[in-house]
Amino acid sequence: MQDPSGENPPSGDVRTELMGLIPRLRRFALAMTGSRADGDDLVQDTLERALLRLDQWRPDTRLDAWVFRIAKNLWIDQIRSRRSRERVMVSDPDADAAGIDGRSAMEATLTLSKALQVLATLPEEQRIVITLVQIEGFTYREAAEILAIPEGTVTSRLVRARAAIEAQVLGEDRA
Amino acid sequence: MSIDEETLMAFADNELPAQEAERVAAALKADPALALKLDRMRRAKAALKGAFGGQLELETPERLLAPFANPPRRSASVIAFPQAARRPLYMLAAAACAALVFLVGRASVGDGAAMFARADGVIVARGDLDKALDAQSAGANEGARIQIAMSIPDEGGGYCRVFKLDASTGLACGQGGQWRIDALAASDGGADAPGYATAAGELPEIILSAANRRRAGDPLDADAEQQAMRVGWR
Repeated sequence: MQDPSGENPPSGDVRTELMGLIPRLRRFALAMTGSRADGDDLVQDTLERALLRLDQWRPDTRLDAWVFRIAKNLWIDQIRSRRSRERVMVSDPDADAAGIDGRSAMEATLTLSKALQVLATLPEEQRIVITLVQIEGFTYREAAEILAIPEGTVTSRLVRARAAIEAQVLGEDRA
Repeated sequence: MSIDEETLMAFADNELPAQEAERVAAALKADPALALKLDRMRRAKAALKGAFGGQLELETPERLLAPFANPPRRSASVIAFPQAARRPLYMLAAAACAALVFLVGRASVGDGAAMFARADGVIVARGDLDKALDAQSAGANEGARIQIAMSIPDEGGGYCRVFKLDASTGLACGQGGQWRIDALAASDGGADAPGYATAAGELPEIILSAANRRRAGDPLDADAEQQAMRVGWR
Protein backbone atom coordinates (compact mmCIF):
# COMPACT_ATOMS: atom_id res chain seq x y z
CA MET A 1 0.00 0.00 0.00
CA GLN A 2 2.12 2.83 -1.25
CA ASP A 3 1.24 6.45 -0.98
CA PRO A 4 -0.08 7.25 -4.45
CA SER A 5 0.94 10.89 -4.22
CA GLY A 6 4.60 9.97 -4.47
CA GLU A 7 7.14 10.05 -1.72
CA ASN A 8 9.57 12.69 -2.81
CA PRO A 9 8.00 16.01 -3.68
CA PRO A 10 10.35 18.63 -5.09
CA SER A 11 11.89 19.41 -1.76
CA GLY A 12 13.53 22.67 -2.81
CA ASP A 13 10.18 24.39 -3.29
CA VAL A 14 8.81 22.97 -0.10
CA ARG A 15 11.82 24.21 1.81
CA THR A 16 11.28 27.70 0.47
CA GLU A 17 7.65 27.51 1.42
CA LEU A 18 8.61 26.27 4.86
CA MET A 19 11.01 29.15 5.31
CA GLY A 20 8.22 31.53 4.40
CA LEU A 21 6.15 30.15 7.25
CA ILE A 22 8.69 31.14 9.90
CA PRO A 23 7.06 34.46 10.86
CA ARG A 24 3.70 32.81 11.38
CA LEU A 25 5.30 29.93 13.23
CA ARG A 26 7.01 32.37 15.55
CA ARG A 27 3.76 34.14 16.25
CA PHE A 28 1.99 30.86 16.92
CA ALA A 29 4.79 29.63 19.15
CA LEU A 30 4.89 32.90 21.05
CA ALA A 31 1.17 32.70 21.75
CA MET A 32 1.39 29.06 22.70
CA THR A 33 4.47 29.20 24.93
CA GLY A 34 3.95 32.69 26.29
CA SER A 35 7.54 33.77 25.79
CA ARG A 36 9.76 34.83 22.94
CA ALA A 37 12.67 32.63 24.00
CA ASP A 38 10.62 29.47 24.47
CA GLY A 39 8.72 30.24 21.32
CA ASP A 40 11.83 30.52 19.19
CA ASP A 41 13.29 27.37 20.73
CA LEU A 42 10.12 25.64 19.72
CA VAL A 43 10.24 27.07 16.21
CA GLN A 44 13.79 25.85 15.80
CA ASP A 45 12.87 22.34 16.92
CA THR A 46 9.84 22.43 14.67
CA LEU A 47 11.84 23.42 11.61
CA GLU A 48 14.42 20.74 12.28
CA ARG A 49 11.80 18.07 12.63
CA ALA A 50 9.84 19.30 9.63
CA LEU A 51 12.97 19.22 7.47
CA LEU A 52 13.74 15.71 8.67
CA ARG A 53 10.29 14.49 7.84
CA LEU A 54 9.55 16.47 4.76
CA ASP A 55 8.80 13.28 2.88
CA GLN A 56 5.89 12.63 5.23
CA TRP A 57 4.07 15.75 4.20
CA ARG A 58 1.47 14.97 1.57
CA PRO A 59 1.50 17.57 -1.20
CA ASP A 60 -2.28 17.55 -1.43
CA THR A 61 -2.51 18.90 2.12
CA ARG A 62 -1.65 22.29 3.57
CA LEU A 63 1.97 22.67 4.53
CA ASP A 64 1.18 25.28 7.18
CA ALA A 65 -1.30 23.01 8.92
CA TRP A 66 1.22 20.18 8.90
CA VAL A 67 3.98 22.31 10.36
CA PHE A 68 1.74 23.89 12.97
CA ARG A 69 0.75 20.43 14.02
CA ILE A 70 4.37 19.47 14.48
CA ALA A 71 4.92 22.60 16.57
CA LYS A 72 1.89 21.87 18.70
CA ASN A 73 2.97 18.27 19.29
CA LEU A 74 6.51 19.25 20.19
CA TRP A 75 5.21 21.78 22.64
CA ILE A 76 2.88 19.27 24.27
CA ASP A 77 5.80 16.82 24.46
CA GLN A 78 7.95 19.42 26.14
CA ILE A 79 5.33 20.27 28.69
CA ARG A 80 4.95 16.62 29.52
CA SER A 81 8.63 15.97 29.70
CA ARG A 82 9.22 18.93 31.96
CA ARG A 83 6.23 17.97 34.02
CA SER A 84 5.72 21.60 34.76
CA ARG A 85 2.57 22.85 33.25
CA GLU A 86 2.84 25.76 35.69
CA ARG A 87 5.80 27.10 33.82
CA VAL A 88 3.61 28.50 31.10
CA MET A 89 1.15 29.89 33.60
CA VAL A 90 3.73 32.37 34.77
CA SER A 91 4.00 35.31 32.47
CA ASP A 92 7.45 35.94 31.12
CA PRO A 93 8.93 39.27 32.18
CA ASP A 94 11.20 39.23 29.14
CA ALA A 95 8.36 39.06 26.69
CA ASP A 96 8.24 42.82 26.19
CA ALA A 97 11.95 43.39 26.29
CA ALA A 98 12.69 41.27 23.27
CA GLY A 99 12.08 43.83 20.59
CA ILE A 100 8.32 43.89 20.37
CA ASP A 101 7.06 46.21 17.70
CA GLY A 102 5.36 49.14 19.39
CA ARG A 103 3.18 50.15 16.47
CA SER A 104 0.68 47.38 16.83
CA ALA A 105 0.12 48.16 20.46
CA MET A 106 -1.02 51.63 19.50
CA GLU A 107 -3.89 50.34 17.41
CA ALA A 108 -4.96 47.48 19.61
CA THR A 109 -6.71 47.78 22.91
CA LEU A 110 -4.52 44.97 24.14
CA THR A 111 -0.75 45.02 24.38
CA LEU A 112 1.20 41.94 23.52
CA SER A 113 2.34 41.32 27.07
CA LYS A 114 -1.21 41.64 28.35
CA ALA A 115 -2.43 39.30 25.60
CA LEU A 116 0.19 36.75 26.61
CA GLN A 117 -0.87 37.07 30.22
CA VAL A 118 -4.48 36.51 29.29
CA LEU A 119 -3.63 33.50 27.13
CA ALA A 120 -1.53 32.08 29.95
CA THR A 121 -4.59 31.88 32.17
CA LEU A 122 -6.22 29.42 29.77
CA PRO A 123 -5.78 25.66 29.93
CA GLU A 124 -3.27 24.47 27.37
CA GLU A 125 -5.77 22.99 24.93
CA GLN A 126 -7.96 26.08 24.95
CA ARG A 127 -5.01 28.35 24.39
CA ILE A 128 -3.86 26.34 21.39
CA VAL A 129 -7.31 26.28 19.79
CA ILE A 130 -7.97 29.97 20.19
CA THR A 131 -4.52 30.80 18.89
CA LEU A 132 -5.05 28.71 15.78
CA VAL A 133 -8.47 30.18 15.04
CA GLN A 134 -8.35 33.76 16.21
CA ILE A 135 -4.73 34.69 15.71
CA GLU A 136 -3.69 32.39 12.89
CA GLY A 137 -7.03 32.42 11.11
CA PHE A 138 -7.50 28.71 10.57
CA THR A 139 -11.08 27.54 10.10
CA TYR A 140 -12.65 25.32 12.73
CA ARG A 141 -12.20 22.39 10.43
CA GLU A 142 -8.55 23.11 9.79
CA ALA A 143 -7.93 23.54 13.51
CA ALA A 144 -9.64 20.20 14.12
CA GLU A 145 -7.35 18.56 11.60
CA ILE A 146 -4.23 20.13 13.03
CA LEU A 147 -5.17 19.00 16.52
CA ALA A 148 -6.60 15.65 15.42
CA ILE A 149 -9.77 16.26 17.41
CA PRO A 150 -13.41 16.44 16.31
CA GLU A 151 -14.72 19.80 15.14
CA GLY A 152 -17.23 19.78 17.97
CA THR A 153 -14.37 19.69 20.44
CA VAL A 154 -12.81 22.67 18.72
CA THR A 155 -15.99 24.70 19.09
CA SER A 156 -16.58 23.74 22.70
CA ARG A 157 -13.01 24.65 23.64
CA LEU A 158 -13.34 27.87 21.70
CA VAL A 159 -16.52 28.87 23.49
CA ARG A 160 -14.83 28.45 26.86
CA ALA A 161 -11.60 30.13 25.84
CA ARG A 162 -13.43 33.01 24.29
CA ALA A 163 -15.64 33.62 27.32
CA ALA A 164 -12.57 33.72 29.56
CA ILE A 165 -10.75 36.10 27.25
CA GLU A 166 -13.75 38.38 26.90
CA ALA A 167 -14.13 38.63 30.62
CA GLN A 168 -10.49 39.58 31.04
CA VAL A 169 -10.18 41.92 28.10
CA LEU A 170 -13.56 43.64 28.19
CA GLY A 171 -14.59 43.08 31.79
CA GLU A 172 -17.46 40.91 32.98
CA ASP A 173 -20.61 40.94 30.92
CA ARG A 174 -23.08 43.17 32.70
CA ALA A 175 -26.17 41.44 31.42
CA MET B 1 -35.74 31.80 17.89
CA SER B 2 -32.83 31.36 20.20
CA ILE B 3 -29.20 31.53 19.18
CA ASP B 4 -26.81 29.64 21.38
CA GLU B 5 -23.28 30.64 22.22
CA GLU B 6 -21.64 28.27 19.75
CA THR B 7 -23.79 29.43 16.87
CA LEU B 8 -23.16 33.08 17.61
CA MET B 9 -19.44 32.41 17.81
CA ALA B 10 -19.50 30.52 14.53
CA PHE B 11 -21.32 33.51 13.02
CA ALA B 12 -18.64 35.88 14.28
CA ASP B 13 -15.99 33.61 12.77
CA ASN B 14 -17.78 33.29 9.41
CA GLU B 15 -18.17 29.59 9.95
CA LEU B 16 -21.91 29.30 9.37
CA PRO B 17 -23.51 28.14 6.13
CA ALA B 18 -25.35 30.97 4.35
CA GLN B 19 -28.80 29.91 5.41
CA GLU B 20 -27.97 29.71 9.08
CA ALA B 21 -26.03 32.94 8.93
CA GLU B 22 -29.18 34.63 7.63
CA ARG B 23 -31.14 33.22 10.51
CA VAL B 24 -28.62 34.64 12.97
CA ALA B 25 -28.58 37.98 11.19
CA ALA B 26 -32.36 38.19 11.52
CA ALA B 27 -32.18 37.29 15.19
CA LEU B 28 -29.57 39.96 15.74
CA LYS B 29 -31.89 42.64 14.37
CA ALA B 30 -34.64 41.62 16.72
CA ASP B 31 -32.52 41.14 19.80
CA PRO B 32 -30.26 43.97 21.01
CA ALA B 33 -28.82 41.85 23.81
CA LEU B 34 -27.68 39.29 21.28
CA ALA B 35 -26.18 42.04 19.14
CA LEU B 36 -24.25 43.27 22.17
CA LYS B 37 -22.94 39.81 22.77
CA LEU B 38 -21.73 39.60 19.20
CA ASP B 39 -20.08 42.98 19.55
CA ARG B 40 -18.17 41.80 22.60
CA MET B 41 -17.04 38.71 20.76
CA ARG B 42 -15.78 40.75 17.85
CA ARG B 43 -14.04 43.32 20.01
CA ALA B 44 -12.25 40.69 22.06
CA LYS B 45 -11.21 38.85 18.92
CA ALA B 46 -9.91 42.02 17.27
CA ALA B 47 -8.03 42.95 20.43
CA LEU B 48 -6.37 39.56 20.69
CA LYS B 49 -5.44 39.42 17.05
CA GLY B 50 -4.31 43.05 17.14
CA ALA B 51 -1.99 42.35 20.05
CA PHE B 52 -0.06 39.99 17.81
CA GLY B 53 -0.35 42.27 14.83
CA GLY B 54 3.25 43.35 14.50
CA GLN B 55 4.65 39.87 14.83
CA LEU B 56 4.81 38.97 11.18
CA GLU B 57 7.07 41.87 10.34
CA LEU B 58 9.79 40.98 12.79
CA GLU B 59 13.10 39.94 11.36
CA THR B 60 13.78 36.23 11.51
CA PRO B 61 16.67 35.43 13.85
CA GLU B 62 19.66 33.83 12.18
CA ARG B 63 19.46 30.65 14.20
CA LEU B 64 16.04 29.85 12.81
CA LEU B 65 17.42 29.86 9.30
CA ALA B 66 20.33 27.62 10.26
CA PRO B 67 18.41 24.35 9.83
CA PHE B 68 17.91 25.25 6.17
CA ALA B 69 21.59 25.87 5.57
CA ASN B 70 22.65 22.67 7.35
CA PRO B 71 19.71 20.35 7.05
CA PRO B 72 19.46 17.85 9.89
CA ARG B 73 20.55 14.42 8.69
CA ARG B 74 17.87 11.83 8.27
CA SER B 75 17.67 8.06 8.66
CA ALA B 76 20.44 7.91 11.25
CA SER B 77 18.27 6.94 14.18
CA VAL B 78 15.32 4.69 14.77
CA ILE B 79 13.19 7.58 15.91
CA ALA B 80 13.83 10.97 14.40
CA PHE B 81 14.21 13.35 17.29
CA PRO B 82 15.35 16.95 17.11
CA GLN B 83 19.11 17.12 17.05
CA ALA B 84 19.51 20.11 19.32
CA ALA B 85 20.55 19.06 22.81
CA ARG B 86 18.85 21.70 24.83
CA ARG B 87 16.73 19.29 26.82
CA PRO B 88 19.02 16.63 28.18
CA LEU B 89 16.38 14.71 30.09
CA TYR B 90 14.18 14.40 27.07
CA MET B 91 17.03 13.38 24.84
CA LEU B 92 18.35 10.92 27.36
CA ALA B 93 15.01 9.20 27.63
CA ALA B 94 14.71 9.15 23.87
CA ALA B 95 18.18 7.73 23.42
CA ALA B 96 17.59 5.05 26.03
CA CYS B 97 14.36 4.12 24.38
CA ALA B 98 15.89 4.02 20.91
CA ALA B 99 18.69 1.78 22.17
CA LEU B 100 16.24 -0.58 23.81
CA VAL B 101 14.12 -0.66 20.72
CA PHE B 102 17.14 -1.57 18.69
CA LEU B 103 18.12 -4.41 20.96
CA VAL B 104 14.67 -5.87 21.29
CA GLY B 105 13.95 -5.44 17.63
CA ARG B 106 17.15 -7.10 16.64
CA ALA B 107 16.58 -10.03 18.93
CA SER B 108 13.29 -10.72 17.26
CA VAL B 109 14.55 -10.67 13.73
CA GLY B 110 16.04 -14.12 13.77
CA ASP B 111 13.01 -15.65 15.39
CA GLY B 112 10.20 -14.40 13.20
CA ALA B 113 12.09 -13.80 10.00
CA ALA B 114 8.84 -13.72 8.09
CA MET B 115 7.41 -11.02 10.34
CA PHE B 116 10.32 -8.59 10.56
CA ALA B 117 13.12 -7.39 8.37
CA ARG B 118 15.86 -4.82 8.54
CA ALA B 119 15.63 -2.05 6.01
CA ASP B 120 17.79 1.07 5.96
CA GLY B 121 18.87 0.49 9.53
CA VAL B 122 15.42 0.12 11.02
CA ILE B 123 13.20 -2.84 11.70
CA VAL B 124 10.13 -3.06 9.52
CA ALA B 125 7.14 -5.38 9.42
CA ARG B 126 6.96 -8.13 6.83
CA GLY B 127 4.70 -10.98 5.86
CA ASP B 128 1.60 -11.57 7.91
CA LEU B 129 2.41 -8.80 10.34
CA ASP B 130 2.74 -6.32 7.49
CA LYS B 131 -0.59 -7.48 6.08
CA ALA B 132 -2.35 -7.33 9.44
CA LEU B 133 -1.06 -3.81 10.07
CA ASP B 134 -2.45 -2.78 6.71
CA ALA B 135 -5.80 -4.45 6.76
CA GLN B 136 -6.82 -5.67 10.21
CA SER B 137 -9.14 -3.56 12.35
CA ALA B 138 -8.38 -2.90 15.98
CA GLY B 139 -10.09 -5.43 18.17
CA ALA B 140 -10.83 -7.81 15.29
CA ASN B 141 -9.77 -11.47 15.00
CA GLU B 142 -9.85 -12.30 18.67
CA GLY B 143 -7.65 -15.27 19.41
CA ALA B 144 -5.59 -14.84 16.26
CA ARG B 145 -1.83 -14.82 16.38
CA ILE B 146 -1.69 -11.16 15.35
CA GLN B 147 -4.03 -8.64 16.86
CA ILE B 148 -4.25 -4.90 16.58
CA ALA B 149 -4.90 -3.15 19.87
CA MET B 150 -5.32 0.40 18.63
CA SER B 151 -4.51 2.92 15.93
CA ILE B 152 -3.27 6.40 16.68
CA PRO B 153 -2.50 9.46 14.56
CA ASP B 154 1.12 10.54 14.73
CA GLU B 155 2.48 14.03 14.44
CA GLY B 156 3.68 13.68 10.88
CA GLY B 157 0.12 13.23 9.68
CA GLY B 158 0.60 9.46 9.50
CA TYR B 159 -0.44 6.67 11.79
CA CYS B 160 0.93 4.21 14.29
CA ARG B 161 -0.66 0.95 15.37
CA VAL B 162 -0.17 -1.07 18.51
CA PHE B 163 -0.10 -4.76 17.70
CA LYS B 164 0.22 -8.03 19.55
CA LEU B 165 2.13 -10.86 18.04
CA ASP B 166 2.30 -14.05 20.07
CA ALA B 167 3.70 -13.00 23.44
CA SER B 168 4.99 -9.63 22.24
CA THR B 169 3.40 -6.25 21.96
CA GLY B 170 4.76 -3.63 19.61
CA LEU B 171 4.29 -0.21 18.11
CA ALA B 172 4.49 0.11 14.33
CA CYS B 173 4.43 3.44 12.54
CA GLY B 174 3.82 3.96 8.84
CA GLN B 175 6.79 5.58 7.22
CA GLY B 176 8.11 5.67 3.71
CA GLY B 177 5.67 2.99 2.60
CA GLN B 178 6.73 0.58 5.36
CA TRP B 179 5.54 -0.26 8.83
CA ARG B 180 8.53 0.65 10.94
CA ILE B 181 8.71 -1.10 14.28
CA ASP B 182 9.31 1.62 16.83
CA ALA B 183 9.10 -0.51 19.94
CA LEU B 184 8.60 -4.12 20.90
CA ALA B 185 8.23 -5.66 24.34
CA ALA B 186 7.07 -8.80 26.07
CA SER B 187 3.31 -8.64 26.56
CA ASP B 188 3.23 -9.82 30.16
CA GLY B 189 5.07 -6.68 31.21
CA GLY B 190 1.64 -5.11 31.33
CA ALA B 191 1.00 -6.52 34.76
CA ASP B 192 3.48 -3.98 36.08
CA ALA B 193 1.42 -1.09 34.91
CA PRO B 194 -1.70 -1.11 37.05
CA GLY B 195 -2.28 2.62 36.51
CA TYR B 196 -3.93 2.09 33.15
CA ALA B 197 -7.55 1.15 33.41
CA THR B 198 -8.51 1.71 29.79
CA ALA B 199 -8.77 -0.76 26.93
CA ALA B 200 -5.00 -0.38 26.76
CA GLY B 201 -4.90 -1.96 30.22
CA GLU B 202 -2.92 -5.02 29.31
CA LEU B 203 -0.34 -3.23 27.19
CA PRO B 204 3.25 -3.06 28.45
CA GLU B 205 4.14 0.32 29.82
CA ILE B 206 7.05 0.78 27.46
CA ILE B 207 4.75 0.39 24.49
CA LEU B 208 2.25 2.80 25.98
CA SER B 209 4.89 5.41 26.58
CA ALA B 210 6.32 4.95 23.09
CA ALA B 211 2.81 5.31 21.68
CA ASN B 212 2.15 8.36 23.82
CA ARG B 213 5.27 10.03 22.61
CA ARG B 214 4.36 9.47 19.01
CA ARG B 215 0.71 10.21 19.15
CA ALA B 216 -0.83 13.42 17.96
CA GLY B 217 -4.36 12.72 19.10
CA ASP B 218 -6.78 10.23 20.52
CA PRO B 219 -6.85 6.67 19.21
CA LEU B 220 -8.93 6.35 16.07
CA ASP B 221 -12.47 5.10 16.38
CA ALA B 222 -13.72 2.36 14.05
CA ASP B 223 -14.84 4.80 11.35
CA ALA B 224 -11.64 6.80 11.33
CA GLU B 225 -9.69 3.59 11.23
CA GLN B 226 -11.63 2.37 8.20
CA GLN B 227 -11.00 5.64 6.48
CA ALA B 228 -7.28 5.54 7.20
CA MET B 229 -7.24 2.00 5.87
CA ARG B 230 -8.84 3.08 2.63
CA VAL B 231 -6.62 6.08 2.10
CA GLY B 232 -3.46 4.23 2.99
CA TRP B 233 -1.76 4.14 6.34
CA ARG B 234 1.84 4.64 5.59
